[in-house]
Amino acid sequence: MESPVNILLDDLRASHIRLELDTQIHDKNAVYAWFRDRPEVVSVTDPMAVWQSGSDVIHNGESIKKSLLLIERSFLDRDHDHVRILDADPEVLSGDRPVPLPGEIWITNQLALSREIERGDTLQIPTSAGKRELQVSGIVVDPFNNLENVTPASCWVAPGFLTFMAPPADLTEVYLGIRVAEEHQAEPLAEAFRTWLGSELAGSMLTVKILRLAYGLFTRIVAVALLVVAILALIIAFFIISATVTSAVFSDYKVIGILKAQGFTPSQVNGIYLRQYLLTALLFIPPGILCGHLIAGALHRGAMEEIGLLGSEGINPWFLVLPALLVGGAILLCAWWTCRRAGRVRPMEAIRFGAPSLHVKGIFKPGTLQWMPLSVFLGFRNILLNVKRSVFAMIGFGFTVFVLVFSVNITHSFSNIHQHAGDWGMVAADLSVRLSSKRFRVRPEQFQEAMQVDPAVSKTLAHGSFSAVLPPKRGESPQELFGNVFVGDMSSFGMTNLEGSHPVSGDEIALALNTARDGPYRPGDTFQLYAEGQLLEFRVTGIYQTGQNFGQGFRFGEAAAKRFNPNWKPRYYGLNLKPGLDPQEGKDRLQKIWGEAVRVTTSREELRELVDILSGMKFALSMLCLVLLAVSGVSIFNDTILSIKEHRKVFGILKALGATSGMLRMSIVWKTLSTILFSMLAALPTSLWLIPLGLGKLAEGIGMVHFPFSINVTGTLLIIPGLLLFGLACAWLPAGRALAVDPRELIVE
Amino acid sequence: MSHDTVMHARGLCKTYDTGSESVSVLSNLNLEVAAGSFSVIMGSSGSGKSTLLYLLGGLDRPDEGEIVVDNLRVDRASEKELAGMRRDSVSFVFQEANLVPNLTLLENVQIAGLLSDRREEVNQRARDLMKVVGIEDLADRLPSQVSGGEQQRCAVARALINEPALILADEPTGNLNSASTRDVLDLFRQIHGQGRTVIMVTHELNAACCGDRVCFMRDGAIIGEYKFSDDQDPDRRERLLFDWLSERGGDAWRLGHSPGQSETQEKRCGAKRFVHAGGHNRYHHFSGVAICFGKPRQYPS
Ligand SMILES: Nc1ncnc2c1ncn2[C@@H]1O[C@H](COP(=O)(O)OP(=O)(O)OP(=O)(O)O)[C@@H](O)[C@H]1O
Ligand SMILES: [Mg+2]
Repeated sequence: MESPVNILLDDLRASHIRLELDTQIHDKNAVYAWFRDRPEVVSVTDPMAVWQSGSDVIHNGESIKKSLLLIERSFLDRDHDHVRILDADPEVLSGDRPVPLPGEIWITNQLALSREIERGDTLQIPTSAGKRELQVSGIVVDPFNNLENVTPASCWVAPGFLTFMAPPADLTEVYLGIRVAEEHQAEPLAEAFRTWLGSELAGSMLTVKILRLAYGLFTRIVAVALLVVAILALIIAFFIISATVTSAVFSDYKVIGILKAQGFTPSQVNGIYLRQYLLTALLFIPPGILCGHLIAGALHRGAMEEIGLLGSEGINPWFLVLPALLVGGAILLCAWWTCRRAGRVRPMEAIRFGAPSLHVKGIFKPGTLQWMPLSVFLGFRNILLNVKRSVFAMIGFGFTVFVLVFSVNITHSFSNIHQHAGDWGMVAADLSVRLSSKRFRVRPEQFQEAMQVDPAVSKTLAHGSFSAVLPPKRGESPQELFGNVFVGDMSSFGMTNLEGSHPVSGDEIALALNTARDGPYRPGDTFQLYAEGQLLEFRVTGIYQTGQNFGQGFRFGEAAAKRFNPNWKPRYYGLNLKPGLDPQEGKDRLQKIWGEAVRVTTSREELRELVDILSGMKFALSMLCLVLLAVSGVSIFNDTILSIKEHRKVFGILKALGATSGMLRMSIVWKTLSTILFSMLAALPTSLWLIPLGLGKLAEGIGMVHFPFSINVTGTLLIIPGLLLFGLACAWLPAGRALAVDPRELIVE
Repeated sequence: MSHDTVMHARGLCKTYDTGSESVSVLSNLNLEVAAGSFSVIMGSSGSGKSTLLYLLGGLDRPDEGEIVVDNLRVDRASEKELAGMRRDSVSFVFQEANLVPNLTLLENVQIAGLLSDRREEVNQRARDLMKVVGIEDLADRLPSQVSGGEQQRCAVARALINEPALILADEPTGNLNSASTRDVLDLFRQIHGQGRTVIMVTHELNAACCGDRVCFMRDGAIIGEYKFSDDQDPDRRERLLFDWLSERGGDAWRLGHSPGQSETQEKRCGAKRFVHAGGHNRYHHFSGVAICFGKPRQYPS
């Protein structure tokens, strides 16, 4: 799973550092020259102008609800930062023209897939001079721009074209891509650059390390999902093999006894069954491998599509053959193990009494039979008679329950994410407002005052970002750290700490989990931060988790920010509306009043990225659930038929005694239902305990130890009757068909 | 049907389809059984005795004719009515005990009781019955842990738990040694003594002598009936019955073949062998005591 990322990074000779610079503050040519002259640098791209559009980009008459980052693609045929072109004009595909034409736009494969945009479509992009139409002429893969949750949706336009899109005053940012000889040189180079710069970087720097981390997280999740499916498939395969062989041996018990009485050795008898079932097993292995290859390939392709790496190579066939051989071996072992039962049959008992009847004494007291409905009693009896098989079935159901619980609750957790924004390290506000730093400005105090008297707003929290540098320890290079500054009470907008409390006074600070771990810092420790040319000391009051910046960062109050810079002002506002007001209407109203001086987003839009991930996941999860349900259904069906076969005679006897078909059918159904019920009793609480734990472990790398997992009580409880009904249906049909048999035949055989 | 007739069958016909040919098993069979009587059915192998019993008990349906048991038209009854009849008024005892292998003897007896509506005191009634058939000490054993005779006695107890009016027994002693045979036959005599109606199929003379009459079957019809008189002692009964049977079937009957058997009947015997595996080697000599030709059974005590 790692390899496609490597291939992509190497093939496309991706940048190891991508620098975003504000040219009003930094001299882009000096920066370019500095990088170019470093010995470890292989190549540097020309500064590429970038401009971010508003979010109201229209495609096919509908807003794609995403802002685009337009990058001017350079004409110069440089040595790195290629894009893989999936679909474009022949001229581009043949390499004659490496850039889009004016009026055209190239978009990432991921954007194309998630918004169903095709080559030839037009995108209407809002600019200060009204909407401009751009035609999509290329669909490309670019490692740095493919992950939506790392970067905004990047697109490419013709060189120099951005001046037609935005006034020059807005075109202040450029991108630089830097590739070094060895990947590990990227981080030190980035640090050296910061040191050289002296002041705070106006812009951002993204290194390949973070890129790998982001891709890694994704691939890990896919790998876990694949593993779960694989384990389940194995369990079910074992279950079916052992159930089938065992029941075959049991029904031939007498015959086996006779064979043995005539001088067959145990291994010969064993061999008869082994050969019979191994042959079937062996026959299924090649198609199994083929199917596995196709499924894994499809999954792999799906996963790669999701992160926009489509077109990268398929899976190395050895990776499939090897596990397939291992699984095949395991299955053979399982078949052999169960076949040994045939070899162990004792001839005397087999001939005289047939298959041994297991008895479960003591489970039911003598009186039990009197009040327990007979079909229930028989159902329980059947479970206890073949405990091993029942346990297997229960494990299978347990898995299904686990996945169902996971699907229901993870979906719920993500769709209620705005209620848990605090756990994700975000402000849980109905509306977020960003004050513009551009032409139409509003002073923070002015906005704050207006909000306090605004009839629709119940609560406000002013905040802003703060970038600082962590002083280097033990010879390491200094590390840039982004923090949030809050004016007022943080807890009022859902922000929490894993331990400790929120910082209040000017010398207090709370650290994000991974920052605290890197120290390590504990609440009460002293923490030093460098910014605005001064090194200040803080006392750590709390540690919190955040889904941003890979768990790195800090929070402190306005007073602390003012210690660094007395002129610091908040630029963001979290607003909570009065109860019952619609966020969308509130947004529109504010936007209308304040015009371009503010950018208002609702919490849903704010979390759009996460919600997008969710919708992708929903599909995958529902497919997984369907597959699991289908498999469970088949195994219930199989199990029902087998157990009817085994108990044919008993059913015949009971029928002759006056049991109705319905009653016998119920006993079978009862067995299935109680198996499901038992496994649910075990699996439901276990899943609810295990899932948040596992998610915490998975998300630990990005600094989320307590995954904001919220349990969907109704959904989870609905699984119980749902699965029971499902089991009922799966057992009811085969049970009825088999019991229609004539009682006379049942007894006579 | 006279007022004390508990069961009658008229014009019964039954044909089995084996796929390649159809075998006529019962043809125009008539039988009437008085309440409280003990009827024995004898006949050569393949003459249709078991088939008749299954039809009477509603485990199978006739192609033609009518069967009435306890005023219920068995041949037309629904599955539910038949199940109810088997539960409440008709019980079976098979050649093999046919106990549920994974239930104890006591539970085997109980389970039949629990099927009916009268669930109360099932436990006590089951224990009482086990005492009657003499296996009260084996209540908690599994069928595989007791002898064939004990299994068969358990099966009789099970047949009695719902106090049925009619008991159908298909060679209940066919698989038993002489001591067990005597025990089980004694049981049947007791049951009959309590006023229940019994129809028993048997190959054994001494078993047949328990009844008040013997119906002799051949080729799917009852061809004769012998009534015992009450004053005869067992030995005399046996001799008289033997003579009567010899007149009808001759020596051939003893071997399990009718004289002058036609080719189709040979075939039927073949089919029969197929259906009842090993059915032909369990014919019994009668010289006062029935002897089983099969391997004598020994059971762990
Ligand atoms: N399901 C069946 N299909 C075809 N033929 C059958 C079937 N059941 C029974 N027969 C045939 O019907 C005939 C009567 O069978 P039945 O079992 O009633 O004989 P029986 O008198 O009980 O013999 P036995 O003394 O050996 O028990 C036999 O010839 C048998 O082969
Ligand atoms: Mg018979």
